[in-house]
Parts: sequence; C-alpha cells; structure tokens
Amino acid sequence: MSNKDLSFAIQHCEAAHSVVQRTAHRFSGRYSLSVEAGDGWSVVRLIGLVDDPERLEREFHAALLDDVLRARVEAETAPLRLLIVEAALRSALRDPDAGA
Amino acid sequence: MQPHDAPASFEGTPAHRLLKVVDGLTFALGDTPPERCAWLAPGSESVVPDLPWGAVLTGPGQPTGRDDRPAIEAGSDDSGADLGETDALPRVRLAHAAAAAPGDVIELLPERGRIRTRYRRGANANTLFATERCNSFCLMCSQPPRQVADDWRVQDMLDVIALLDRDTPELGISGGEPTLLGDGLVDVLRACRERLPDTPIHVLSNGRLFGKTGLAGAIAALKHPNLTWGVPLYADVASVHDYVVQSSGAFEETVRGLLVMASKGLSIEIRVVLTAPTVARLPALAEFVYRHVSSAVHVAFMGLEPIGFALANRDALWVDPEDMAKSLTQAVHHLANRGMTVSLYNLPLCVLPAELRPFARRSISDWKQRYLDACAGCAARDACAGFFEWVKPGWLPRGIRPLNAHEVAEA
Amino acid sequence: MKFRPPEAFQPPTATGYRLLPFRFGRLPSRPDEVLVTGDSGRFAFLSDTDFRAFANHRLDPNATLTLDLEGLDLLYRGDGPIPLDRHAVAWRTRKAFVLEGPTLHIFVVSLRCHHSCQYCQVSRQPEGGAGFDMDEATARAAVDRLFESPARQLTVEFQGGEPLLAFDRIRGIVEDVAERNRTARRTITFVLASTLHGVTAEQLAFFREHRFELSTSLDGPESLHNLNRPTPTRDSYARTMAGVATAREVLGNEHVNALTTLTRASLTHPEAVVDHYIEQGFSSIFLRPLSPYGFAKRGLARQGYSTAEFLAFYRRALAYLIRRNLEGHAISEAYATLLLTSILTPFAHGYMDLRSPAGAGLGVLVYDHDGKVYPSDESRMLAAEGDERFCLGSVHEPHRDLMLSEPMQAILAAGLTEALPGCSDCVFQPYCGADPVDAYARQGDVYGHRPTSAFCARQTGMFELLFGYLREGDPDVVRVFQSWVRRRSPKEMRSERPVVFHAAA
Repeated sequence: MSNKDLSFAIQHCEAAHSVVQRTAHRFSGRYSLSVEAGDGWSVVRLIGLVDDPERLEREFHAALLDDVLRARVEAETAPLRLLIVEAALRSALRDPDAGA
Repeated sequence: MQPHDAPASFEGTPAHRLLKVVDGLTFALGDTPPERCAWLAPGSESVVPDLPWGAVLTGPGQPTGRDDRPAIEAGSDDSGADLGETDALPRVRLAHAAAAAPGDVIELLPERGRIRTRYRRGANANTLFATERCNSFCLMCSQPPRQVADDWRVQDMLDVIALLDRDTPELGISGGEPTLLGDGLVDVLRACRERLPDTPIHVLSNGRLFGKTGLAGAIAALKHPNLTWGVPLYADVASVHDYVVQSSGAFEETVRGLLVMASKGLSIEIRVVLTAPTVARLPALAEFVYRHVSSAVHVAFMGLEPIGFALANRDALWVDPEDMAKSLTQAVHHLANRGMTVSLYNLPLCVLPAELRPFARRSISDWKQRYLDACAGCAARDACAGFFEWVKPGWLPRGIRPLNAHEVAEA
Repeated sequence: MKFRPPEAFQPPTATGYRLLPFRFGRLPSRPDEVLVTGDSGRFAFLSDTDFRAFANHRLDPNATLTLDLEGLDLLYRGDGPIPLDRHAVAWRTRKAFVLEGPTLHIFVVSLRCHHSCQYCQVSRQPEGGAGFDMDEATARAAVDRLFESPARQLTVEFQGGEPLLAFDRIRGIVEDVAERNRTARRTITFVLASTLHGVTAEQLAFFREHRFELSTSLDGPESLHNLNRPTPTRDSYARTMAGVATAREVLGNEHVNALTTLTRASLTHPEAVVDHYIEQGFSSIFLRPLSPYGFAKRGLARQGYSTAEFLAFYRRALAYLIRRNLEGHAISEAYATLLLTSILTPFAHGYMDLRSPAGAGLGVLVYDHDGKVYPSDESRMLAAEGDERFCLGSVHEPHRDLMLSEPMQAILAAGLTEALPGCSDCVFQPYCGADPVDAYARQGDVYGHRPTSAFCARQTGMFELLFGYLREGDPDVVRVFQSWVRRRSPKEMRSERPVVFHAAA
C-alpha cells in the first residue's frame, strides 16, 4: 500500500527548526516537502509516492540525529574555523619579529 | 660529541692555541700564515723551514730539533737557516704519531698536556661545537647540556673556520642548541659562506627559537648556497614529543619553528631518534612530517646512541631493531612513496629487514665507530654503519649476524 | 638531572579536549562506521560508537585514539589557546591557487572542424566556413589579458572547432607570447586540443620547438570511436591514430595525451576502452562523462545515460585499471588521480571544474574567436546555444572589468562549497568543488540543488568508491593509487598499509 504523503512532528527540544529544515532539504530530491514551525514543534510533510512510511520516518530521524550533531559541532568549531581562515589569508605565519 | 684529545708534551708557550697542521704541500697550497700553522716534521732527518711557525710538531721518538739537532752535512742547504731562530719556536711532541696530520686544525692545551683535534682532514664528519647550553633536555641527549656563559665559542668557531681547508667537503655545527648564540650563529654562518662557499653546512637545532625571534629571516638573508638544518621531531603529538625532550611546549615551538623555516626557504632535514615512545607512533609521525613539513629535503631515522643521558633512561628508551621493524618499514615506505628522501642511520644492516637496507647509511663517525667479533666474515661490512665505540650489553640488537654475499647482492 | 615521566607531559584529564573543525558522513558500504574529514583534508574512519564518544567529548584524553585524532588535526588536548599556525598553513596550502589568479587561458582560434560528432561540445562550423576564425586584433588583446594574470605558471591552450585549421593564428599567438615573455619571465606551457587529423610535419616541428602538450580525443577501439565521431570519410579513428603516431615521433609519448568522451555505446565496454588505451601506449586515460552542452544536448536521448549507469561503468573500469596496473601496465585514470591527490596529499589538485572558490573566471579564462571572454568552456557552449549570460565582456576590456562583471559576481556568490546548501556540511567538501555554470546549465540556477544534482551524485559516487578502496586498505591498490598521484610506475612504489581506521583500543 503506498501513501500519497507522510507527515510527522519533531519537538524543538529534539531538534531546532533550522536543523529540521536542513535535514528536510536532503530529501527534497526524492519528495516534495514542507516544513512548518509550530509552537515547540516542527511539522514535516513529505509528498510523493511513499512506499514504506515507517522506514522513511526512521530514515529521516537518523539523518536528523546526524544533523543535530553537525549543528552542535559547527557551533563549537565555527569560531576556530574563522580564525584559521583569517590567519591563512592574512599571512599563514605571523612574522616572529612583529611579536606575538 | 667533543672531538678527540691526544696527549702531548710542550716546550715553549704558543702565541696561538688554534693552529693548522701543515707539511710542505699543505702549506704551499693553503692560505694560512705560518704564525697560525703547526709545522709537522715529517721525519727525524728533516729540517724545519725557517718561518715563524705557530709551533713545530713531532712524533714520539723524533728529535724535537732543539736538544737533538740533526747533523749538518757538508753541502746541505745553509741559506740563512739559523737554527738559533727555530730554537725559539714552541715545540709539541705528540705521544702518538697519528694524532695530527697535515690539514688538521688542532688546539694546543699545554696546561693539560694535550692537543685537541678541532678538524680532521678526510674524516667522514667534522663538527663545530657551538655551545653547551640547550633549551631541551632530551632523555637520550648525547651531549648533556650545561648552563654556562659560553658566547666565547662564537669567536672560537670563527677562528677554526679561518683555518679550515677551503675544500672542506662538509661541516656540521652542533651543541647544545646552536640557535642560543643568536646573532653569533649568523656571524659563524656568514664566515662559512665567505671562506668556504663550496662547503655544505649542516646545523643541528631543535628549531624552537625560529618561531620566536627573527633568526630565520637573518639566516635566510645570508643566502648561504648550501645550508641544511637537522631538526628532531619525535611524535605527531605534543605529549609524546615533549616527554622525550623533557620540555613542556617544545613540540608546539618546534613545529612553529619548522613552519617559519619553511616559509623563509631554509632547507630542513627531520631527524627521528628511534626510542620506544617514538617508535610507538612512528607511522603517524611519518604522515605528520609529510603533511606539515612536505618541503623537508631529508628524513633520517636514527638508532639510539648509548651515551650521555640515554644511559640513565635505558628502560624507557631501548627498542630492539627487530621489534621496530614493522613500524619502521611502514614509516620509511610511507615517506619514500611520497617522494621524500629517507635514510637510516646508526643501524647495522643485519638487523634491518632486507627491504630497508637500501636506506641505511654508514653514518657513525670514523672515530667513534667499530664492528664486533660477531661481524667476522660479513660481506656487507664496508657498507654497514656498525656500532658505536661505546656500545655495551643492554644496547646490542638481538639479531647481529654476518650477512652473506647473496643477501648483500639483493639489496 | 631529574627526568620526568610521560604523565608529567600529558594535559590534565579534567581538561578534556577541544574539537577542531571537521565534517562527517558514512559510506553506504559501511553503515556502522563514520568517516571524519578535517578542513585540511586529513581523514579517519571511526566506529559509530567511537565517533559519538569523540564528538561528545567523551574520549579518554590519554587513549591512543585520542592521540591519533590529535595527530590528524581533529582535536586539541592542551589548555590555553590552540596554536593555529599549522592549521592555517595547511588550509592555505590547499587554497594556494586562490592567490595565483587565472592560470589557464583558452584561445578558441577557430570554430571550423571536419567532424560532425553527435556529442560535440564545441558547436562547430564546416571546414570551409568563413568568419569563424580569431583575428589578429582579438589575439593580441587576449595576450594582453593573459599577462595581466599574476600567476608565475601559465597554460595557454588552443581549442576550436579544430584549431589546426587556424595554425597560422596559433603560430602568431605563440610568437607574440614568447616575445612578451622575455620581459614577463613566466613559465608558460602551451597545449593543443585537437583531433590531430592531417597534422603536418611543419606543424609538429613548431609544436616541438615550443614544447607543446598535445591533447586529443580517443573514445576507445576503432568501431566505438568512429561510431561516436562521424566524419564524411568515416575514418576518424585511423586519422587520429595516424596523427598520434606522428606526433609521438616528433614530440615523444609523454607529450601526447588522450581523453575519452563516454557515450551510451562506450559504457558497455569498460575493459575494451581501457585495453585499447594500453595497446596504443598511453600512460593515462581520462574517463570523462558526457556534458549537457552544445550539440551533445541534442543527442542526449540517444547518447546519454544516467549517473548510476556512469558510476557502474566507472567502478568496473577502475577495478580493471587497477588490475592491469598490477599486471605491469603503468596507466593512470586522470580523474581518480585528481581526487586522490586531494585526499592523500597536502595539496589541491588544481582541476578547474572542481575547486572552491570555483575555477570559472578565477582560474580559467576563455577567449572566443569573436573576442568575447567567458569564465569557462561550458559557458561558451551555452553562448553558442544562444544563452550569453555568462559572457564576462570583451577581450579588449581590462581583466579588472571582466572580474567586476555581473556574471562573475554571480559565479562568486555561488562558487564556494563552504557556503552552498548541501555542500557546506558534506563529508567530501574538502576535496570537492563548485561549478556554478554547470549548475545553471543542468538545473537552472547558479546555486544548484544538490539532492537532484547529477554532478553531486557523480562526485559522491566517486568519492565513496575511492574512500571505499582506501578503507579496505589493500596494499596493492594503495600502491597503484600512490603511483598515480606520484606519476610513477607501480613497480617503483613500496608496499604500504596506511592506517585509516582508528579504534579506541
């Protein structure tokens, strides 16, 4: 039995809305999607021929978990990345003569 | 690595302590004034040419020419040779004839009854000693550092350089940590460039000061045509490297120094002494060197020298070459495959896997090298580094054996 | 002298460690493992459990895995500010091309050609056609643009149609460049992309004098090549091989290279294509898929194929190439070599179509026969089809104006994988690149849409294939890959087994 679409909700404590959007984007080649922010929830709707809705939802959640981790790692390391790139573009090594 | 001393007896006080040993040919071909030369009397019948030599050297049993004058034969050249003049020259009688040879640079130490060889012509390694000070304290340091004010060594090195053969095939500078001399080191390197432009110079340094001072720039500005820096790196992570050199922060300073050196175009050799903590992470170190010091002109993996601090730390340091074979092969192949030049120093050929033998070099300086009884009949002797003079039980690899001609041909 | 134990040099356990910037993902063939890639291109495979511990700061700071990851520049254990020098230097090394300016300058000297290849990317004109050659004023202005680039190493590539049909123009340009280079003192490489049909001894002597690299198209065995590349006399293969043979005699084998263009017909014969290249003595093969440009688009239905079909072909071809290498034939696959260079060395591969920032306009400039300047080959193709949006301007405008043009700004805005959705957090980002012109041509806008992008699907497939091999760690395969990256024969490579999987134990 194939459903026309699949819809589920994700609490914001599990994943921020911006992260849900990112994960949804990954599926936007296979399905049409909408992602709506509610009060403490994001609602994801995938429209298209969904053969196995339970499996798809599991797949979405697995991808979402990874994206939650990516967001956390990004938040933690983005400042460092910026410093590194700035240093690289300015001049990779500060001249020792100029002092620390 | 202090150079060799030899006993000698002295008559008279030399005006200059550093002298170039000459015979007729060396004097004629060189550019050193006689005041800075030690005339090496070639035989008991010889006449010392009438020049104001810094000293006259004789071997044991030879007449010094002072109390045992050679008989003046009828018809001998008497052109103004005034034996009274040569009487005034300082005389040095060597206890062993071989202690000095033409071309050598010697330091006279009459207060100790010795001469010290500062440079030996034809030796496979000659090194200038820059300082006893160091900012690291490696577990296996072969020249345990002392905190002394020895900036006088700058002038000393300049004086030795002035006496070296102009065709000196190569020259090392070591210590301690030579960069602690600061501008003094720059002066020494400049003198090398000026007097010995064709002599490759190899300086051993931990590189730590290159990231904190303008030294790299000053050295690059010299534009020395053939100057290489041997920098030790003992791990891809700070905790292990700092432990081996017994100095917190050393790894970060050395790595930063290496980056600065590379950016200024200095020629870098990475030196890796094969101790247990380093061998444990050797392949990772190889990749680290490839990624961060890809401009290195050479990587040397070096067997441990049983001398100095190493003797106190044997249990922490010693790894039998057999036990490191797999890691060493992995590391060497890793670098060689990525186009880096790799050598193995201080490891006898018999204890290396066959595939690594082509990388091994006869690295130990003549004057501190030997073979063992177990080496009798080995077909690879001439190509083998052998052992350190002071090797002892506890520092001998397990698998020492003579190689046969077939094994040698395979290499 | 008191010696301190190892513990005295370890950071206190309580300090833990900080993460350095990284991305992660999984290979479909190994769902229980995570591939972690750092900004400088270093990478590691971890078990899922170890990865979670790593990312959540739960690794024992003194465990071997933690030290391994620190050595790989993926975490930092000390307290105090993280020393950034080596990370900045590593990043800068990979992006060094940014500072060079355009290094590849393509001169389209003529649109005339004798072929009528169904998949032609080039929008040819008939051999006798008039008004399709580059004139002298255009050529001189293009050389002005060339020397405005700050790059010390420049490549001048002649394309067409069939550039040999405008040999006098080529000669004029080369002589002009050589003359001006006496003061400019750059290192200049000349390349000719040609079918080599009817190449004369005089032309070859000229190419030899100026140390040209010749590049020709060879799609495989004769039947396949002629099928793909019809000429009125139906002997394209024979004439190409004759050209190759003479060119090799005069210039040497190493200076004559071949590319394939893969059509549907080619896809069923990976081994035949590879073997044919080996038989003909080539040391490198570039398995290049069809592009949706030019005349190729019209033939797409008949000639085209899906990404999945291409990847299936490529997997077989690569496996076969590896096998043939191990049998003693030193032949590399050029595209795999580029990707492996990026993965296994500290350096960028330099391929224009796969850079971030994009190579279009920044790394390569195309001077068309009519004096229009384009940021890439592909954008010129679009113009030939009637879509001029990527034309940067006229060859008579200074470089600065070309760079400030609207199309160049559009490329810049969409040309950084670090900032594109679907790319910025991709595990393969350090090795991949952006191609805004391709995105526009295939998907309708310069940013593109990764989930439906054939370019992305192909890149992903290739990275998964290569990383799969690296993870498997077969020393023979590693040896072949290293030989390609180093441009040596596999025989010269020594056995190695680099550790790519790191475990906590």
